[in-house]
Amino acid sequence: MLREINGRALADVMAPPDPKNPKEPPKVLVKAGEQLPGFGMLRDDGSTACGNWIYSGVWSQAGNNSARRDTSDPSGLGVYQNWGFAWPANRRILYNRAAATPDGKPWDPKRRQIAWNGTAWAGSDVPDINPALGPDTGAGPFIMTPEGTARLFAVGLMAEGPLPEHYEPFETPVSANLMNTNPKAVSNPAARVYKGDMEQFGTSKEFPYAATTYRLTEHFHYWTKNSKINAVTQPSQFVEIGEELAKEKGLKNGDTVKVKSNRGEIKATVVVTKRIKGLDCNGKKVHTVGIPIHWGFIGVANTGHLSNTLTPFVGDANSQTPEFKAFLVNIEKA
Amino acid sequence: MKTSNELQRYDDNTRMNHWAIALLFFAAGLSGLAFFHPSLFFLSSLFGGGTWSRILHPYLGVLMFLCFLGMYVRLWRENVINQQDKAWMAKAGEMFKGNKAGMPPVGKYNAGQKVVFWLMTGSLLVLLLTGILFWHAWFPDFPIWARRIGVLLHAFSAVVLVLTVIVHVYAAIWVKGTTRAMTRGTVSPGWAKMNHPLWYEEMTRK
Amino acid sequence: MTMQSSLDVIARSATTTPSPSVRQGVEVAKLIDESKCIGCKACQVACSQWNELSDDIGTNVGVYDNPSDLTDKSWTLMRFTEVEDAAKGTMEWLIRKDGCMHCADPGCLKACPSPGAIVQYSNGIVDFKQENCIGCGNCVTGCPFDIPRISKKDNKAYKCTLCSDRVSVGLEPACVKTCPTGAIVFGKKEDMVSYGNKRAGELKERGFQNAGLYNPAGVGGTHVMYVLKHADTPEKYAGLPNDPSISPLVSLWKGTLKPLAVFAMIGAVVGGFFHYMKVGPVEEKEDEKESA
Repeated sequence: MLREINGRALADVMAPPDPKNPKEPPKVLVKAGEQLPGFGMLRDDGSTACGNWIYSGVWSQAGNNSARRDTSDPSGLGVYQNWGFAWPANRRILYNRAAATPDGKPWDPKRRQIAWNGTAWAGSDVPDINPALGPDTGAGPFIMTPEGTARLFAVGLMAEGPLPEHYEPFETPVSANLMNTNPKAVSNPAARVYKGDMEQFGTSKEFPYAATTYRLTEHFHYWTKNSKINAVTQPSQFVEIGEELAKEKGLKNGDTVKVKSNRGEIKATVVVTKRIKGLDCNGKKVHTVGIPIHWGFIGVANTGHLSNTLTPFVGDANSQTPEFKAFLVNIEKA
Repeated sequence: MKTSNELQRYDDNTRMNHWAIALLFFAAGLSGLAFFHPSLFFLSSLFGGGTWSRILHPYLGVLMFLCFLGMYVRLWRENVINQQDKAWMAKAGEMFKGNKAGMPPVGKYNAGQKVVFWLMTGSLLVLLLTGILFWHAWFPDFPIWARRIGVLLHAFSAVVLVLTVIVHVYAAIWVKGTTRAMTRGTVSPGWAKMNHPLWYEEMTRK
Repeated sequence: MTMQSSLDVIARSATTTPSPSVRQGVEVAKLIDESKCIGCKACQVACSQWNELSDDIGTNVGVYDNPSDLTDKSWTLMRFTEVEDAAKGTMEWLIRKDGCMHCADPGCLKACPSPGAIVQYSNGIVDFKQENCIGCGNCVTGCPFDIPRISKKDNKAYKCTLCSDRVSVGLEPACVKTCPTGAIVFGKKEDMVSYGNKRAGELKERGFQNAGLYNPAGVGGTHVMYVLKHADTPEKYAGLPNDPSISPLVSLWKGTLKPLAVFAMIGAVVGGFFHYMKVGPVEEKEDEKESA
């Protein structure tokens, strides 16, 4: 399988025409049927086949490079170039042009990784830069940024940032963002929220308790509710609340409760625990309702409600990760 | 068949009741004794094995208790202990050695019989109540501390009952003419005069 | 660890005569380090899988313990207890793997009335032989830890076997093999005792001054032991008894009074026989009979 993933030439792979000798017949770089030496040989015209470009080179014509066990380390830097294969291209250290000064000389002559030898970058590792791009071009080692240098934070690729900010979840039990007095910055102003979803947010007046969803050791997501042996160890849907909230609501272990958000309601058994305590948020006592997710309307485990009946439809401004772990609910005996 | 001068001591129903109790005593007793001590476990073969003995024993016991209830209702009034019984008990040792001469006159039941009656009543009651504590087929599990007391009292009462029955059966054999009271229902006037003179007078006065 | 043959049985229920004693066995033990247990229940699953048990799916009664109690088909169970110390401001979630302790002086064996239904091997394992079990439940009454469970389906008693089948061929019990944190270990009892004491010492260094090894002498020591962070108060761990022993009521019930009572009952019959022979029956005198 590794051989296939490496890739091979389906037809002769030709070098591009030599600008100095345009009339000369193009050179054959890789013969048809041969393993490709690296991702540089991959073509978009159907003459090559490859399972994953980053693994191209793992199994060349020489054989299975990932099985190499050469412990030699001529540079003394622990590079071990010929031990196995590092993707991509057997490059052991990324951005290794940074081992040399802007002039192309090693920063530390005693620790020589790659350096400019006058015509190319070379050394104890595969250069992580076009080998011909000399120091005179000013090309920086951080080849994935346009400026060639490292960045402390991403610019131009984020919806908001670059520095981390605290924002309250869209359904927050408190009324203000303690870290930001701007009233527009209670929740993330750069999050994408559809109008209908915005209208479905609840307030702490109707839904005073902070809710969060989580997983249990006995189940894996939604599939182990179909496994009897898992179901025996954790058979029923339950929610967890602290002792103070239980006392307030007249709930005790084993009662059936209704948990409601502005989007829907679920029924579950309640587990009263010392592990959840009311939190003092700037003078306001906020209780948490813990909602494990693993149940659904089918399964060998006792059927239950989908916890996503309650969760809000909003995601992180940058990654769209849904805000399923911070929203508001109310709870009462069923 | 009753001869002209024979006295009726027990009617038909009382006799049937008594023998039902006796048979059930053997059944419940032997099945219970199988669990009493390993040396007696072989008795479980009589009932089809250990598991069958365990299943049947409580039913036999409850049935015996119900039958005894019938007997109790019939006989308890005549078994109330009085002052004369205390005098009889004091002299009982002599009688046992074979000298019946000095015994005070007794009615239908002497003190010994009355003690047997009340010991049976008491031990059967304890057996029933403690047995319920660990009859899994019909009752939920009682707390373990209660079961520990229960099994101990159950075994103890069983021994009391067995010893009482041994005394009861032996007495019937020892005093000739007694068994006929329960097998035929009648006793001879001589037997009555000798062993229960006050009852004899009661019966012949009519 | 040798094959479990009849030569290895050193004690047998309802048996008044000695069991085989010529073979010298090596005692084994399972050590459960409560401080390393994460309550993942892999041991519950491994036990069910190895023994091919499929318990019923119950319901949540409001606790993390599932099933909520040991059953005929769940021979081990994680029991969760939340303990708060208001003075110290601490909250601990104590998790204990419950199951048969395999006592050196087993209460179940003492209480069982059926010969051979419960046996004890020379390696310390106490095993139920269901073919001899009559389903009376005495074992539950006799056990100081409330472990055996009678099946409603077949009326036989069941409990952890310490994987006697695996141990007899030199394998560790299924729960030991599965435990992802290495909280359950298995080996020679003396090794487990010294390892357990060493672990208790390490816990003491980390601030658990009352850490210790739970190997109760009241039942002669057990072949399932715990390393507990709070060995001074084992009852914190879902009621693990502090200094357990076979209840004196059970000892009385099954002690010497029993054979004495048998002797007394037989004695009463024999005594009656000899009384009759000596004293003779009470009968009406010949002349009195005639005149009546």
